[in-house]
Amino acid sequence: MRNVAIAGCGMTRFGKREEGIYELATEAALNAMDDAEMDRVDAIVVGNFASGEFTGISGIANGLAADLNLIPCHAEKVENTSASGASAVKVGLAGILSGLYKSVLVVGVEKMTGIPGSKATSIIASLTHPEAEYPYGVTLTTFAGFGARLYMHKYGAPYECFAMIGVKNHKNGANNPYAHFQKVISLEKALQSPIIADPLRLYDICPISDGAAGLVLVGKDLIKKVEDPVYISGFGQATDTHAIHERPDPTTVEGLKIAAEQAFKMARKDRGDIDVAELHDAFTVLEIIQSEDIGFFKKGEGWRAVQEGVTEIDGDLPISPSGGLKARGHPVSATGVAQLVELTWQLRGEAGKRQVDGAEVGLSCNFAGFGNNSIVFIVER
Amino acid sequence: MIRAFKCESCGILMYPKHSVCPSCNDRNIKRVEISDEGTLLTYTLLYALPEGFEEKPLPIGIAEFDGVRVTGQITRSDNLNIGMRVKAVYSKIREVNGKELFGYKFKPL
Ligand SMILES: [Zn+2]
Repeated sequence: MRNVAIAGCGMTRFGKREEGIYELATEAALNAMDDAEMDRVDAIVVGNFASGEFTGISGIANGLAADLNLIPCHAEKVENTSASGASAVKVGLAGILSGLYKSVLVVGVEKMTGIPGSKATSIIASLTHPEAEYPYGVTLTTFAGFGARLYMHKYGAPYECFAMIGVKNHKNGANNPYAHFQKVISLEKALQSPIIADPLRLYDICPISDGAAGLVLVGKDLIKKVEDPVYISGFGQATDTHAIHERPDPTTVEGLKIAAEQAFKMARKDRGDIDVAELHDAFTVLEIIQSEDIGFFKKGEGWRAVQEGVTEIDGDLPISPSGGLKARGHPVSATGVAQLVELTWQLRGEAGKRQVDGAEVGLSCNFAGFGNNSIVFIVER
Repeated sequence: MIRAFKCESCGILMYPKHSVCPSCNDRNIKRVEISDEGTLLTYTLLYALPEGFEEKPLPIGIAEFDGVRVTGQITRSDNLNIGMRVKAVYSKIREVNGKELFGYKFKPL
């Protein structure tokens, strides 16, 4: 499919930011509009999980339309927990494919710092099952601990394979000026960091961050005006069980298998065609599980890839050259958009020191919850 | 005993309750009691606690009872193993605004 292109992209630096949610959204939106050399769009779609809970602010899509002088454009906010960003892109994509819009500004934004960590953890944990999970103190990190322990038990993987993903993603983030953490960490430091959800440690878990990312999507009428278009050629999405214990194998996300299959089919591509991938490593174990469920590696063997250097920037399948959620940071709803910003830069050859040589086809995977909803995009030149 | 749910049409057991049977789409779902002795499938010791929890670590696990899986707290944090036998005890799991919440705690056997 070559009917929708990314005409422009941009983002804010992720991290603990002084600015409020509107300032962050505006910065990313204007960076994307400037990159596209456009000042009008038919619609704004804002991906945002919990502005009300984190900041007490609602109605940000309309506020943004007014602030950016885009009135009377269409506008709404899309919520799909930690996949709100990818869902916003999907709504923009669907709007263009339906013929309703010629251009859409997509912004993913989250302002998370400024409240106690336990409160932020509870806001995120509210997506878990309200009777069978949440009351017990179950959080997203709890699922990561469950998954990591079971994965090690089933496949004989050593704990180090998780720590090595944190080390790799920090190494990549050190070359990304937009990343929350821009410093290399040693494997020793990761192995000795405090346990957060046994067996997982501090460097296995993404931080709480503020930030925003934006994309301008255009349809056929406008693509010819874009100098260096990156096409969204494949899209797939699938939901999965609410309670994680209901999955036949808690180390497999069936929804991601379905979403990936849909995306490959739409793009008429296969696993071997992917030059670079941005995965949803909210927890290091998820990068392994996702790389297997997308079909890059066989189930139970994905942990070997990081040990063999396959997923490094100069490896056969670079995963998360941006630093991923671990190092770039995870302002929940900005993530799914930022993944496509990174892939756009990679495909245009603008990724600087973290550039993947000759990248022409990229794949992103954004997770809602622990794979309660998986969204996959394939982009190409 | 553990309170699970059963589809009256196809007979499958489930937990939590679904309004529509995940197996046959029937809506006739009834509460049933199943064995409270099961097997620990996986677990973690949580050190990053959500609001309303004080004591670290918080041991939480998934256990299987008569083929039905349940998420619950565990009564201890040491000497835990995947595959160990546990008994589910219905007890206090959390206090929210002075109100006690009850649920399953797995006691290793
Ligand atoms: Zn049934």
